[in-house]
Amino acid sequence: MGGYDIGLSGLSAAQKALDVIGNNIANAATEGYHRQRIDLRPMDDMYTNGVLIGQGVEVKDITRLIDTFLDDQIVKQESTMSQISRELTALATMESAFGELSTEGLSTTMDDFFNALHELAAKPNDKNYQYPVISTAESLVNQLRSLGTTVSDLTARVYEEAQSTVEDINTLAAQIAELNKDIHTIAVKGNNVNNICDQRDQLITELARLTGIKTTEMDYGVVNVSVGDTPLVMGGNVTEVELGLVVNGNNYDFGISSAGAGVYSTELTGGKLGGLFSLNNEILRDVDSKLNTLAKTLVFEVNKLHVQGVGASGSFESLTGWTMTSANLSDFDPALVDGETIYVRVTYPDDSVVRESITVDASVGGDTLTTMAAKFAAITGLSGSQVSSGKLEIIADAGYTFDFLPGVLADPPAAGPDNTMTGNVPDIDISGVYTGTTNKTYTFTVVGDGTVGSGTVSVSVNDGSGVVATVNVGDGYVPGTVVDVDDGIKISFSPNGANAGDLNDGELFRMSALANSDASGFLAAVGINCFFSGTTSTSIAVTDYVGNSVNGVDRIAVSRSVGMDDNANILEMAELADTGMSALGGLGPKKYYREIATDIGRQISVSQIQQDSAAGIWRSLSQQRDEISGIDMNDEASKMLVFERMFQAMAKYINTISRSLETIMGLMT
Amino acid sequence: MGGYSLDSIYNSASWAIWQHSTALSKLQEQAATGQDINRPSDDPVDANRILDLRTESRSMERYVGALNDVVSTLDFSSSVIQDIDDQMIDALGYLTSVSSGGTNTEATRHTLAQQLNNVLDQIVSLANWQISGHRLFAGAASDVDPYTVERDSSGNIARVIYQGSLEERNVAVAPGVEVSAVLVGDDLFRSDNPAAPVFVSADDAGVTTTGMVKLSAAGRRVFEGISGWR
Repeated sequence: MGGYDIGLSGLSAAQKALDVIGNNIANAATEGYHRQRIDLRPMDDMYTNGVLIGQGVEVKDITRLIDTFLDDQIVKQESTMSQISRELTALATMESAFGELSTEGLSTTMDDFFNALHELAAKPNDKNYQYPVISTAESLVNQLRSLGTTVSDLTARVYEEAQSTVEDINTLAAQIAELNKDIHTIAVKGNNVNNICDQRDQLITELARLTGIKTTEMDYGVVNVSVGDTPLVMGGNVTEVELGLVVNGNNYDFGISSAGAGVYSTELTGGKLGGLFSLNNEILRDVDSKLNTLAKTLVFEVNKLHVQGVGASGSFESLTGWTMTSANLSDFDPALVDGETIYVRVTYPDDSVVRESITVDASVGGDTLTTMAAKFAAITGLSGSQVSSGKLEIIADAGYTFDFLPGVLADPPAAGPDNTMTGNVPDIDISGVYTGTTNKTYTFTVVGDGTVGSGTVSVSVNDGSGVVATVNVGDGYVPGTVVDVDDGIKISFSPNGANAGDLNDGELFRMSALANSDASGFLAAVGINCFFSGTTSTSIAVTDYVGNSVNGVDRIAVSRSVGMDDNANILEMAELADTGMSALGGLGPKKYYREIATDIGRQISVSQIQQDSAAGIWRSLSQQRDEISGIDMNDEASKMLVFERMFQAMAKYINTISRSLETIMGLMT
Repeated sequence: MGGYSLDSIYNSASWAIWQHSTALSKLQEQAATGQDINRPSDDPVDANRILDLRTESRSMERYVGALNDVVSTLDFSSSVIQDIDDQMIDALGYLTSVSSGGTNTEATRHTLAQQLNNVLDQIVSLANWQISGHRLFAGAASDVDPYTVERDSSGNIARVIYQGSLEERNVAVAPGVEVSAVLVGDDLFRSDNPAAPVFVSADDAGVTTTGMVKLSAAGRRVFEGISGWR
């Protein structure tokens, strides 16, 4: 009867083999399916009539043709590609928003603004040149705000997407755990788990597209999964993960933790979530930070010059700053320079001019907005100065005006330690735009005796480091002649009415020449006489003070000399375009912006190369996997033929055995 | 061992299609725009250079515009100065014709003074010339007439006062190069020797008259001596 058993074992094996082949062909297009192979082995031999004879065939196993290492590498590449792809989408969105080369981007608008400043410098009092400054400045801030908003919108979207991705991760983890349970239950009973393993592995691949994962293979085909160092699937159990925000300086990093544990890890790479982490924690933040730095620096540097100048409307009767979030000077951003001085030029009702000074204590516990207002109010003619609704108001008394013009005053100081001139003092007139870069005190000392235009008498000018000029004001000097002194400063001596103007040896007067009337940065920080407002790319704006359609353009501070007829201030503002600034890493605003725009392009370019490289590796690995695990129809068909023949042969064999037995039975009867 | 699986065939085909369609769409974009680089990511290094060059080009356009403005204004100023020179030559002509005629009567001299006064009026008018509201010879204070006159009881010019600015107004016409389109009248229309100004050269006209330069209470420069010509 052994022949029947052998035949039946062959039939059974061939039938099972055909089933496996059929299953393979049916799943030829199933994603994640691994080709299965039937492993046959001969049954144990038996002694039959003293001869050791084989007892047929049995199915040893049906195995998945899988290279675990190769599959792991493919999962990793999928994870990498998914991260890069998500980063690239955001970067491409930003590049489109910047619109450089394809449209008129911010670089064009910045050029327009600074060119408008240059053109106004040529005709500072011409409305036709004043209005373009405001309109181009509005375009500039609108475009900068638009870019800032794009980045902040992207950041908000990234957060929402990260939350939704974490939900998807938890859902997939639950499914994987469920399949792990099934695999364990079936495998323990010794049954085939190939198809269910494929399903589980496919879910792991999908999970890897969402986040970087680590997998560990356990007994009975169970796989544990963790996200970074956070366990996610342990056998049939799930530990859900949650997204959290981790404080990092003034920013919030994305972090991931086991739900409820509150221990957030910000180091997550791979998958869509890795891309979102990278976007939030680095890429978008970097662009946002650079745009904010550009906006803040532009506001600060332009305002720093603007606060010191005056426009066509001249000195001020009142100025109001913007609302401050903190009244303490030590909290101001940008930080103030502690111990510096603000110089205020006050014009009295009788047209006399006095320059007053206020020292700024920006240390912790030092000045507040209120104490600063009190310091202004203590100046004669500015008694109405106050803080109202968090804004500093500098208010001149009736008949008084004020400004913050640097340079030199037109007249020497009143008689005193800084002016020892006696007798019929000549009419001394000081003019010009001070071009020095530091604040200086010039001492004008009379050498010799005489009167203006008569005698051997001159005036020696010392800037503190030495004599910089000696002006002959005696014989040969025509009264009223303007003479250059130093760094743009000019002086003239004239008779004082009917008197020729006495000049006595050793008498002197001192004049301060200011390069900067507010080295502390206080006025720009509180919004006094400012052109721009705001501290970020989304809040930058042209102040209502100059943007006002009625008389704003007259307040564009073109001049910075006490004569108020120069264009030095607007020219200096125009030159900021290419002036290296420490806050911008030594670059000018235009160049700094170009670096931001092209850096995004550079990141896209690099990411594309990385993606191409990852895709190339993925493709190569996939081909290798397909060679091992893919369904080759020709191969399956040829195997089908083999097992079909085997089945036919075994059937024939059984038939032969049967007929042999019939023959034997016939002989017996 | 497997060979060409369905997945493998599909992946290879879709990869090739994607590669070619990406290349095709890039070529179509380049053909449509006529540009090799349409966004910074196409070539970040060259994109940076292009943006830099565009900025430089816009700056150059502005410099050219400023230079044209300056040249045009200075051309105009030159033309006005030529007109003033012509007026001076006319004045010389009057003086020469009178001096060559021997003794002159008071009426003749009065007529001559009137003619010279008219010439001076013309010169002041030319010195206050403006283009689009911008005075050519007022220095930085180009929105006010640089010269004002004081007249005597007969309406003749007694004094000419400069009330413009003593400062020039520089504009950038090239990187690091600034020039002023407006001229300081006080620098332009004054004697080389302000202590004893000679209004008419003795060699040229045979008639010499001196005047004074004074400073007014308002700090303005005043030329005196014109009324002495009568």
